Amino acid sequence: MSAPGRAGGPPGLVPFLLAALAVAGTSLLAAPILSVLLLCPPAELARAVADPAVLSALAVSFATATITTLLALALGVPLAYTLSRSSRPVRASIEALLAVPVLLPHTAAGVAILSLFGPWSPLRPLASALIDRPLGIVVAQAFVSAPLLVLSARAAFDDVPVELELAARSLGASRLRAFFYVSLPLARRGILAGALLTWARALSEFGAVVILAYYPMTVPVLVYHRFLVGGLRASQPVVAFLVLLTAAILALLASAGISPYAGR
Amino acid sequence: MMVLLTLEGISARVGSFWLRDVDLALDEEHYMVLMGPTGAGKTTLLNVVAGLLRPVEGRIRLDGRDITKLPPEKRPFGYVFQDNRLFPHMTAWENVAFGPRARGVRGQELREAVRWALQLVGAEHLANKRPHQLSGGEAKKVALARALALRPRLLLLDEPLAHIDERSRLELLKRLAALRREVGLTAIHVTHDRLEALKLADHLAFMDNGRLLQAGELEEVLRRPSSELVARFLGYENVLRCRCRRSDGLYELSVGDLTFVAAEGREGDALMCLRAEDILVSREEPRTSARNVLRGRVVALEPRGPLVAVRADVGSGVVLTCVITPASRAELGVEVGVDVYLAFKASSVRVI
Repeated sequence: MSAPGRAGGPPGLVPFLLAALAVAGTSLLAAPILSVLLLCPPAELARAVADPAVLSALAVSFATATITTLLALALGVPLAYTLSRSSRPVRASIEALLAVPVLLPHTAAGVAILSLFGPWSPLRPLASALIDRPLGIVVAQAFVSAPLLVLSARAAFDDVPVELELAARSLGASRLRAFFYVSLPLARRGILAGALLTWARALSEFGAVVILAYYPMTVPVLVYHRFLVGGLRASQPVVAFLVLLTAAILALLASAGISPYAGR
Repeated sequence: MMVLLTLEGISARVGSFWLRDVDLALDEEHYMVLMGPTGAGKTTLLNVVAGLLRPVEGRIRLDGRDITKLPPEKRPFGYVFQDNRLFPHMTAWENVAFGPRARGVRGQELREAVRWALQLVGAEHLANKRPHQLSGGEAKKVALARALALRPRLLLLDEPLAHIDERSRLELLKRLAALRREVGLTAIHVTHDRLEALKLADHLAFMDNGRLLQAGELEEVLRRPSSELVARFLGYENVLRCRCRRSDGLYELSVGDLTFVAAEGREGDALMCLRAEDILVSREEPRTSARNVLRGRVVALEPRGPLVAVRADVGSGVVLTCVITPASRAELGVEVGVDVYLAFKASSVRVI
């Protein structure tokens, strides 16, 4: 190939192509979101907003996702810190393990959790506490979403120089104090971003949740249920409501200066 | 005077670098300057003393008590790191308060401690600034205040005056000297800078290659550098291997075909040390009482601060370095290739 694009081709072709591709990409993403919202009869949307089943599902989803996130913070931050300060082989093997739930199809992740309480498992007596229980929802959400927090927090701890912890200790701080007053505040942004990703992932989790707990219904399960029972006509208003809600949440986060995809 | 700290046969490892068999004692209110080339192990030694690096062998004693296994937070030392390591998410005030807070100091007492430390280094006006808003010199002051706020028994200073602007350097040098007098500071101060050492130290120590070469009182080390490296660090630019012999109450030093006269010496192989400043340079044979006069040919001229270093070949493969002012260089017409006379007194020669 001789001198490409810039030198040989007509001027402006590459920017034009880029702009066209960008428009095409944006349209593909925007079309379903706009159609589900704009092509929904307003009366149906109003009914969905007032539907007790929808509101209950929303409550279950928000409550479980929040508990899942708090649980992930409590267990994930110490794990992330340990990983960040571990030797390379230890860290690589544990992080490979953490990647499995994220990469596994989520229904498969649900089956994997269920197997822990299955007929051949010594934990079988605990099954009744999980199956079709809020606890089951939390466990399913945590399994697939907590790794996001761990990985994000680990990267944040990587950016905290060990030298600063040593300086803290030379000033009389115990390891614990050095962690809480130096490492944790310095990794704060990365941990919060991870928590936000975990929360969002938990909120939208369907596959793993539906295997463990069809009831009480979370929003993703409710949408699936309505679709099975009444098709598009029954499920679209709920989804239109969700789109509005999501936009509101994003606006709220943006006004607080938090962007879930900013990476830090 | 009480012995504060002793290191007994300390060996420590950092990657492939070894600190080997270091013995050192430091009395209370002594200010020891630790010198040596880059990579000599000076910082490693400070880390061992601070407890940030556990030695492989040897013991550290504080007031005679074995503290080898004591974690860093339990040692009553203050450490000023070469890179400061100020906490970026805290103001200067909070940085200085970190140590006292960790020791449980609160309220009025805490505010007093922080104010005292900031005042001591002249950094009160920086209290509300964050580390990224501080200049190099200001950050160093805050780091020093942070280490002092705990009123440490021993202050560890790792090149505290390097990499900051000249004005801050001189100010900090003054403040350290004042601290020494006013609060009876005990310190180990790592530096490359000879003038810094001479201004602050009452004790000098030298390291090279992970080993302690020499440690002792300032005067003693200046008078009797134990090796070529130490002599060169102390500013003896001319260090020659020689054979030394007593003669007429003086000493004769032979280097190849050259013979020098020294006021001090000992029998046998030795090192002859001579400062560049102690050599008088002239074009005519000088009329002087100096016992050593030789002819040489200028082989190089190098700027040396405000002066000019003259390197002259005096035969037998010996090149001596002397310094002259640019004015005398012009007056004498010293150029590469011209012949000059070099003269120095027998009492200027150190034999080690």
